[in-house]
Amino acid sequence: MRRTLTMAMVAMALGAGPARSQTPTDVRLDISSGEGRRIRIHCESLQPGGDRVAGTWSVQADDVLAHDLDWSAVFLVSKAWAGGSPPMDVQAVVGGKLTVNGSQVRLNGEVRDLPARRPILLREYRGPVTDWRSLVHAFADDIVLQFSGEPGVARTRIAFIAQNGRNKELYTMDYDGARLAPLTADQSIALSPAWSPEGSLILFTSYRGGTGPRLFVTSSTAGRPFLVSGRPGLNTSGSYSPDGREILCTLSQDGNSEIYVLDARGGSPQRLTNQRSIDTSPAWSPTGREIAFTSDRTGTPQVHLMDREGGNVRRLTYDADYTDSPAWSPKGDRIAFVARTGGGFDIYTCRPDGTDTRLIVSGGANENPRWSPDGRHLVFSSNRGGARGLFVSDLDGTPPRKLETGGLISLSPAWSPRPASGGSALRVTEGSPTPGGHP
Amino acid sequence: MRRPPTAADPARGTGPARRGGGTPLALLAVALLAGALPGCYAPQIGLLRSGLDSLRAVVDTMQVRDELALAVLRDTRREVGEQRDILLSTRASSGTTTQEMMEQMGRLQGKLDDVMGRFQQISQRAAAPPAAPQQVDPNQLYDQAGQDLSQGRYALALQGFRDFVRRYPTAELADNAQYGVGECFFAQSQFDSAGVAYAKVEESWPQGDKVPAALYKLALSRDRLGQKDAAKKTFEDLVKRFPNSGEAQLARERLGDTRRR
Repeated sequence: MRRTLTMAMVAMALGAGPARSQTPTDVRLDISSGEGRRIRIHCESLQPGGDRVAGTWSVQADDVLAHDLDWSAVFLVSKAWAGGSPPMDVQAVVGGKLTVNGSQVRLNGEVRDLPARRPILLREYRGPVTDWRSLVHAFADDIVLQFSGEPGVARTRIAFIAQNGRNKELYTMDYDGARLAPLTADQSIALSPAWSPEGSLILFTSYRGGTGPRLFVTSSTAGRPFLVSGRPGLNTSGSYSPDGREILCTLSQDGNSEIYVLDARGGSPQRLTNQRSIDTSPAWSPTGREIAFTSDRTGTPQVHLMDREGGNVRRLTYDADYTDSPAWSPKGDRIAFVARTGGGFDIYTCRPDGTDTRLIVSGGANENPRWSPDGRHLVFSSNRGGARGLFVSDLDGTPPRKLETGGLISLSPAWSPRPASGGSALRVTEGSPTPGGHP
Repeated sequence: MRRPPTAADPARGTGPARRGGGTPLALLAVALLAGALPGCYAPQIGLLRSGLDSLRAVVDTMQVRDELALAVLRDTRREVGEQRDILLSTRASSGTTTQEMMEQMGRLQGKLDDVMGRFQQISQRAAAPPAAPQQVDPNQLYDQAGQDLSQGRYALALQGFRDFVRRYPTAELADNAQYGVGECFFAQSQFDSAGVAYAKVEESWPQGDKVPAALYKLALSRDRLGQKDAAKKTFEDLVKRFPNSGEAQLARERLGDTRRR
């Protein structure tokens, strides 16, 4: 009898052994196994606090946060303010408190599991009222990090070209279309923007000055362009190397378009291609060791790869009679490109060895695909909505969503890198549950 | 804990003594009565005396028995106490032992989980290589190495390309894999090893389509090592033997550069 009892107690002890106390940071779900499968998350309204204006702010913040989570491509979002109770399979509920005190705003963000409502993430964000969107975006990025293991891209920006009559000017905006700002007002033609690796500069092609296309660089926050390359002929398609020390571009100083590497100030040109054919649209691999580019050396324009020093050229795909505009994914695992099929232009991705080609977007003319820094999205220009505008694909089969760009005819987008942490006025601290808030 | 019976064991006589509980008192009363009548009945006095003696003996015996009984009682009580102490201490120690045991078991379970996890990892790792030679698809091995190179995992890429060259030296992609070995070193600025790897492309696969690219990279590796003359010779060799290759065009430019310098 006593032996039996002892064994029973040991069995209980063993059963209790593997159970570990879980802290909020232990909760991390593996979503890599189920591509296209999103996590259900429920957004509750942020509770306003402090000044009377907080109520208005918090309603806007609710929408921004819900959009961020939806657009992360990690979550399937339901909203408490849209009515109804959370769907049965909701895994977490998001909420918290937004407090406005004069010129300062504080967001106490909370994520809790269901149905126990134990805290998964509690964090406090502070900053100037004028930057309230950044606070909400930072919270969204942290939620994405918590559930996917990688931060989101809600604090990134997108540079693009807006067409007004015959003029094309350079603009930037938040990745969700907010805070639209022109960087040039040259009444000229700006083309193909590209961000520097840390996001402070934008390289672009411009006809400003009236002497053909030249390469310029400008601060990403204040438009004051400096000339990078004004060699005879074309100076186009500039992009910074992953370490920011070099610039890839297309120059035609030798008669036809060839691909060059310049130093970051535009000097020490090094020619990488030397063909009678046209070589253009160069794109770095994320290691900086390989370059994808378009060449018509085989008859029709096709995406090719080569080594950083030139040479070792190989064609990427053989499936379409026209491929162009390559963009290497930030992880280096895929290359996006445009293929002409019938009357339209479709966007595909494939592996750098040319295998595993996948159709991402078709219907109409879809061009200039560029990756988000987390590799979960592609932004591209398209005429699919009528006027030429910008769209984002989440690469998981969901229809592309249109980016609102203030009614401007928009093309040639470029997605910024993530902002450096601590680079803004934003302050983040690990928080405790809001007293009396968010049940 | 009964003690073995002895000759002096009072317990043996317990029964009869109790049964005759009133007898000694009756005898005593007779004796007193006899004492009150001195000199009357001399022969009866002798009888009484002997009776008294026997009474004394009985009383003595009874006293001995009582003492013995008390001693036994004390012994028993002590033993019971000891037993209780033993019992209590046993219970306490058995409680502690159980708890310790449970904790120990918990710790052991943790370690067991650990070991089992490691064992599984090791057995998976151990199981993979023996299965690999028969099952691995050469193209898959090459593609994986290529992916590793594109994504900057140079150590893995190097291992993959070397593996490919060793296992499939006659495959169509063997020279590409050897070139990949060179790329892994070049990407890590190990130009000495890169040069050796690029040179091997022509040595082993002189008819392969990677020879011009490998010669170009061999020349660049030598250039980076400061071996300007050797680099120049390799560029010239490339231009002479593969004049129509893209790499020859680049080499001409480099030679132009060196001439300008």
